[in-house]
Amino acid sequence: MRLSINHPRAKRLPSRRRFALARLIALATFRSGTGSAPADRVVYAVDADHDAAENYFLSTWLSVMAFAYAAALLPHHGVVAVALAIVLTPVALHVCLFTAALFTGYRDRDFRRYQSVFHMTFFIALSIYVAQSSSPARFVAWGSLALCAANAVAAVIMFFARGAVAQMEAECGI
Amino acid sequence: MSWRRFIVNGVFWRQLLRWGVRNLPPYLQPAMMAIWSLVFLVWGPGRRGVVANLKAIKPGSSTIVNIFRCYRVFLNFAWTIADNARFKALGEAPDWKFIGFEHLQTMQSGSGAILLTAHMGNYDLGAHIFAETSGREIVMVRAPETDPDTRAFEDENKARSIRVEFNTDPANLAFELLQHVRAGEIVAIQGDRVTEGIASTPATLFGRRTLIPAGPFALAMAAQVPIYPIFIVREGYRSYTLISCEPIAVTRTRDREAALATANAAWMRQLEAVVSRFWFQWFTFEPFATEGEA
Repeated sequence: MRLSINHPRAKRLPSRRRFALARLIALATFRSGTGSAPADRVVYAVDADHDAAENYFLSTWLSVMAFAYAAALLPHHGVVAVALAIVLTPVALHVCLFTAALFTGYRDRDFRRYQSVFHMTFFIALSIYVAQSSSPARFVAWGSLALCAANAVAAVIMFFARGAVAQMEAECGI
Repeated sequence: MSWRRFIVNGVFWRQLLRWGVRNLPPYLQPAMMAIWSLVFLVWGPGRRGVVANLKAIKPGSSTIVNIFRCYRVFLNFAWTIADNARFKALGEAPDWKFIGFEHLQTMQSGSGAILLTAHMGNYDLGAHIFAETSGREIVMVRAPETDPDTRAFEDENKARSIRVEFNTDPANLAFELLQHVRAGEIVAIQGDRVTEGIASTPATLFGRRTLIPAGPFALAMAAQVPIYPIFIVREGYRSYTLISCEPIAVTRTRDREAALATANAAWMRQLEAVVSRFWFQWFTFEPFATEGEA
């Protein structure tokens, strides 16, 4: 566990994000703010998945995807499809989670990376399928695929910017 | 397999949470928290308890609005227990901010002390972090889990730096705690509600009569150590603030009752100020008021 003590800017470190696009945004905005509200002492954990905006955005986006795809794939139309999709969205998210878990079983190990790969693969495959349909959900699918493409470009930029990231970490006492 | 494992305090939910923090990708956690907090709204006694407490904290508030507020309480509770489970299972700590750090330093550098806290934010994780960073052992006093399987599960997964003393035998516990404090250890006690069998003292909170544990004040007087009121508040996604207030000194005078009452009143003032500001993080699921208005 890497900790940054009394460096309010550490909150904006790219290393606290998981996805390349979020890391790239953090890289661009690192020097633009003070960091956090005043306190006597601040301790920031510097590992991925610590950014609220990234995780809430992705959570909302995946929920919207699950809702839109459920509505599009149901044999019903209009209000009935929307109502059923609202109910099915949480169920679909759980089905995805437990389906992936069928391959790991109930073991006391960290399977988040494996689950993440499973979820992303599943949602990208579903997006490719829905993007070819004529339902309104295709806009969500195209948006999702565009995000994936942007993330891939960001990953390339972040690869070349790793020196700058290391320097930012050093500024924050890491 | 007993059905008791599925009741709200049953071991099934602890196991599911531990499984969840090891399996759920972090970017899916906000959605899952929102869903499961909604599911737990069907837990009638807990919901009614929170709504009753909110009525006292926010006089004149309507039940409908308080049910929405109750959802916010449940959601914050879900996040705090998940952060705690993540720390225990994966060693991933959240961010911390400290307010009133000088009091905390005094407590860390001094001899024995009593850390008085409330069922707020992540009191459990706060104690773990504090013990691991300060290198001092903390003795946590708490009520045992009612379900034996849950108790066994918690024992198995507790942090190494924390010693837990259960308040099931108040007479012996008082002597043991006195020994701990005199040995220079820090004793952490939750001072906002009493459980069956422990010594209590009447107090007034939000204009209602309530009972709070008498132990911390009597212990502070006997050991002649200060009480440090500390509140741990969840600020947002994996982020907590530790608010350390002015210590309360319980002086040994001829009038013991008056000295205890003064300390008790000082604690209630601090508790009321923090709870009224962070009502959405006061995890007291039973009505705190023993009877009507004080």
